[in-house]
Amino acid sequence: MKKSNGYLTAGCIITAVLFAMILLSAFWTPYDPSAMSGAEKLLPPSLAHWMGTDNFGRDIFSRVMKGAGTTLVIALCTVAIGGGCGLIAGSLTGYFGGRVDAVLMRFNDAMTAFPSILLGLVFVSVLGPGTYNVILALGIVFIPSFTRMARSAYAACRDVNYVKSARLMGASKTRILYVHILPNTLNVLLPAVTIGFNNAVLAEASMSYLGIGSMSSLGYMLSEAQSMLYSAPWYALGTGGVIVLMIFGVGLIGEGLQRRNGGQRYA
Amino acid sequence: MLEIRDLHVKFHNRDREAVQGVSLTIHDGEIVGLVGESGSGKSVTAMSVAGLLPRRQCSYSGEILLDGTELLHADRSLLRTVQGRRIGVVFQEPMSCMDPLMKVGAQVEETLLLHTKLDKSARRAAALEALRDVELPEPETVYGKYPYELSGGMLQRAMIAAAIVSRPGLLLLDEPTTALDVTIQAQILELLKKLNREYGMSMLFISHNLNVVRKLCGRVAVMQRGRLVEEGPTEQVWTHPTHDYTKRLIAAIPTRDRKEDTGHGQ
Repeated sequence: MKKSNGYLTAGCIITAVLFAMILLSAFWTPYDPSAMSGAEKLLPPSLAHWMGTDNFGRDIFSRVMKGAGTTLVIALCTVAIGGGCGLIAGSLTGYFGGRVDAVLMRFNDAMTAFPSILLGLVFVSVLGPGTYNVILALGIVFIPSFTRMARSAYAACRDVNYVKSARLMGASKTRILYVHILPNTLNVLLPAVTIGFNNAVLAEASMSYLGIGSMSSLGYMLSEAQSMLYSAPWYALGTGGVIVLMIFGVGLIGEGLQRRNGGQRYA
Repeated sequence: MLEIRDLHVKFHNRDREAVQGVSLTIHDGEIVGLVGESGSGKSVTAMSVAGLLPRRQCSYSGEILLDGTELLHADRSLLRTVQGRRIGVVFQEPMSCMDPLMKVGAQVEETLLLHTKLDKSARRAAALEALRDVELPEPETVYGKYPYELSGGMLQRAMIAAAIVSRPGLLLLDEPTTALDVTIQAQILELLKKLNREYGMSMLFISHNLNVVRKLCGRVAVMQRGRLVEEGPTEQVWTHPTHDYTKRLIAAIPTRDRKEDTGHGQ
């Protein structure tokens, strides 16, 4: 368990670099991300503009730094909503079983029957566009998969002897669910969270790409870059590259966590 | 101390009642053995006393009185005040009964945390005392260890420490020595006797190992297919068993001269 874990280390480094970049962008970017300049339209990457400039002469690297922040916040909040609600619902259905389980899980099945993007689109069109609504929509869309994951983890722990002992000591249900069982399910749930994070980044990017997401996220920039794929390929490459790196980093962390747990895979 | 009156338990997915009208009394400071083959209903009886029956999956009737408090039909909140504080339970497999991610000390303290308002240092002191009571070497070290760092015998001692830390009047022991090797078994039995002597703890000792029961229990009850077929002082049951099943059980005990005779001349 204490053995060094290449996946985990590499993932943490990549994620840390990106995180540092995003934190930095809150105080400083090389250029003002929205400053236009007619003289510097569509410049290829150079030392002055690391990722070149777009059709309005805006520095793409500065915009990517800001955009990555938006994407990260949306993905984190999505995972928090989906993971939080999913954990509560999953722990209840998994631990108690019975009728509650049957009803909630059929509802869950119905939710998963829709492709997540489609469901996200439905929620956004009901709630209206905007960053917060995208977060809410994606969060709701992500609840079922987390519920399922938490449910199976809790169901496996329900009749384990140490849970019985805790019950016999007179522990309350809340305490059993979240003090005794939760730590023992983390080896399953943490990798699930990293996978969920990646799905959230992609889902957000897809929604922005379709024009219903946040106006400043990486996905939205990618949709802008599409029209300039031939005149300014660096725009799409830079933006897409950062999305790939973000997913790659967190994906490596997830893989590392799974391998640390003795190589079982949960996906 | 404990009075079980006409206990019936039937699981919905079984045809036969798991427990069919068991009545059993345990007096203050008494160690009662409950023996019988697997499936005879002895564990279900204990589960009913401990409030661990899956109530929705079975029907049950009768009465279980712990110092006058009815437990069988009691609601959960009342049960929780009894579990851990007035009844301690020790299971068969110490390895699986300890939360693998919680330190031993924290698990020994658990009932104090749940049932008393003692502060952290007082809980620690009580836990260390309990660990000392069960004769674990270096209680301070054990306190800070995780279960996987202890051996089976040490874990069983730690489980007993967790069960007695709130000084319950009744200890339910569900085959506590079965998973241990014989020398450790003997030590645990000595330990239980000591706890019984020093704290006057009553015990219900469930086992299918008759030799162990004979060493420990003053009175023994024999169960077969959900019924209590014989009950009485251990020595009397031993020397003059009245029920056929008891006779066969006792005849089946391997001795030095006669190894594992099934009684059917196989």
